[in-house]
Amino acid sequence: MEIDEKAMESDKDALTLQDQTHQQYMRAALEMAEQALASDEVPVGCVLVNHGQIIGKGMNDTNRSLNGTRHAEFLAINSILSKHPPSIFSETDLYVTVEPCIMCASALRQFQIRAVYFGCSNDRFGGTGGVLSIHSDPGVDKPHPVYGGLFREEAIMLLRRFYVQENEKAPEPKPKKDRQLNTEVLPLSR
Amino acid sequence: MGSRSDAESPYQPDQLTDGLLKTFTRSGCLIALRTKAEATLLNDVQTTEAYITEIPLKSASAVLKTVDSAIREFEPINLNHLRRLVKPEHLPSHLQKDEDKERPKSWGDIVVDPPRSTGVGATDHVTGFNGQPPILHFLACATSVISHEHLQSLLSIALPSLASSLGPCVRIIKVPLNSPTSHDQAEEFSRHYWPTVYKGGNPFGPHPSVFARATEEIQHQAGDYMGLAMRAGRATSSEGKGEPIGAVIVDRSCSKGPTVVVVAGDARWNNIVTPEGSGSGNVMAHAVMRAIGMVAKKRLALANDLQAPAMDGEQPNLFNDEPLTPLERDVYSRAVLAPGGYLCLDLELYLTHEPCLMCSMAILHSRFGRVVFGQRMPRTGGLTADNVGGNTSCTGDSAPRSGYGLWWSPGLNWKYLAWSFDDPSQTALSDRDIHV
Repeated sequence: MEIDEKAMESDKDALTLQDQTHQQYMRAALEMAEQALASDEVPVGCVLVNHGQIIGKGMNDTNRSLNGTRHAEFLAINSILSKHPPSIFSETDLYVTVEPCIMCASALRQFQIRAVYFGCSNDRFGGTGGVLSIHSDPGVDKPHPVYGGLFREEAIMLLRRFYVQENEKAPEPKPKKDRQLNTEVLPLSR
Repeated sequence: MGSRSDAESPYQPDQLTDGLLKTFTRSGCLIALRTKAEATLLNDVQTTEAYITEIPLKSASAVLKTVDSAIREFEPINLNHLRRLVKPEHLPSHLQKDEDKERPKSWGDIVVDPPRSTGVGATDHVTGFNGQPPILHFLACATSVISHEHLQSLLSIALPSLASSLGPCVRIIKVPLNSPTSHDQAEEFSRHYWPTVYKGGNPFGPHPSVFARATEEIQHQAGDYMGLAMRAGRATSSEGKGEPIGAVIVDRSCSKGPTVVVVAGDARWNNIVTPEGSGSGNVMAHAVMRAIGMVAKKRLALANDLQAPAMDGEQPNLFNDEPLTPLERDVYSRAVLAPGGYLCLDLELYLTHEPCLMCSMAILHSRFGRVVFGQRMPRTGGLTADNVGGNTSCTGDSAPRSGYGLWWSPGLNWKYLAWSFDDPSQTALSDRDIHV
């Protein structure tokens, strides 16, 4: 009885420790998303972690670069590939605030990423469960696990803070003065 | 790397004219891709059962009216794509033959009053009239709408003269449940099931007239651009920078006519830490990603009013979105993008091979209008949908098929037109698992 309790206790400790590690990396990804927001980019951020080390960080860069493919994942991968061989990704995990889009999900699988952790899902473009499930579909590259929902509310709030702003670049800017930031995030329905 | 005949002639700057394009032009034909929905329907035509019978031509409208007003109150199954009244000579052959021979026994149970079901039935009946009054074949409705007995009684009301002597012979046939998506499919349905009408429109993909107009517009130069794309791929691969895969971006809205604005070869082995040949290399340096990157750099330069596009300075650039070969540099330095454009909106993309899923989605994110590619990549491609539900065992090929058909996905916020360019002499990639 006592042994059982101890075993459970240590399991719980291990889990909490693991949770804390995941949370630490996702917080770093959220910081990158904050930076994106400060630069008038859709606030998505990510970090890539290899053997406990953050080896690359990225934030969305599509508006500055005028390139619709410059997603956070690609910026992080760009910085990693200047120092490491592409084979490093098979021992690397991605933490990203929003589910990778179809393009990024395909790139990640081709790079043989080890695992993907994301915040909120992406019903419009998501490639790891939102629209397609590229990480697990039959394919020539090894599939990888995906875990969603880590700091989901924070990721959603960042997106809302972006979309509540006025877009001066829009052909007909919509006045959004009266818009209020909705702070209520509905729980996931399972 | 073996030497290739036309890759050896050095590229001369200032030759990107019609002359150069024509020198390397490929001959081939454009084939509009099927959407995923179209491919699925093609593999598995959904059918339902429907009643047909023969009626005298002169009573046709009366019968139609009686039956239609009676079935209106039931749950209808829309078979508007099927002809209701068909001349005997327009029947599909498998139904026509039955005209001349005995009815199969299986019809016995639905041929009623008089019980001459195993006899020569309607044929006998038709020829029974001396003047051989012309008959029509009538498609009544789906069998799930009303019972056979109900239909029989309706026919007896509409054809009182026949009811007294010889009841019409009602048969059940299979008919396609969904409207055809093209004239070709309508013809196929007409041959295999029942005369079918194509009414235009296509709920499962782009309207065929949209495809036809676009094909007409691009077909004359497609071979030229395909040749240039091949050359772009050979230029990077011969330097060991990438695979022999190339991309060409064309702006058709230019005042001086269709203009090449960017060419890019694959550069997956360029500037990476490991040598060529292991793994997938730098996935971000696929030809499509590089070409999109170069368009963005040109736009950025336009927006910042710079003569030469700004380089990213000390930032590492594994995007490889700068020209790498003499051919790429020449086009990049001279081609002019119309100012005020957005991403790759309205631009055309010509590729030596079917793009992978990443590139297919990058094309979508970039708002391209049209994509033409050479070799199909059944295991890794993101555009073709023909492999959906396809049986791979018959080819002895158990490798996974992709079949995403990403160019036309109802759930995504952008759609583009896509063709394969059938060119028997194109460079076939030997590795079928490679991502383009």
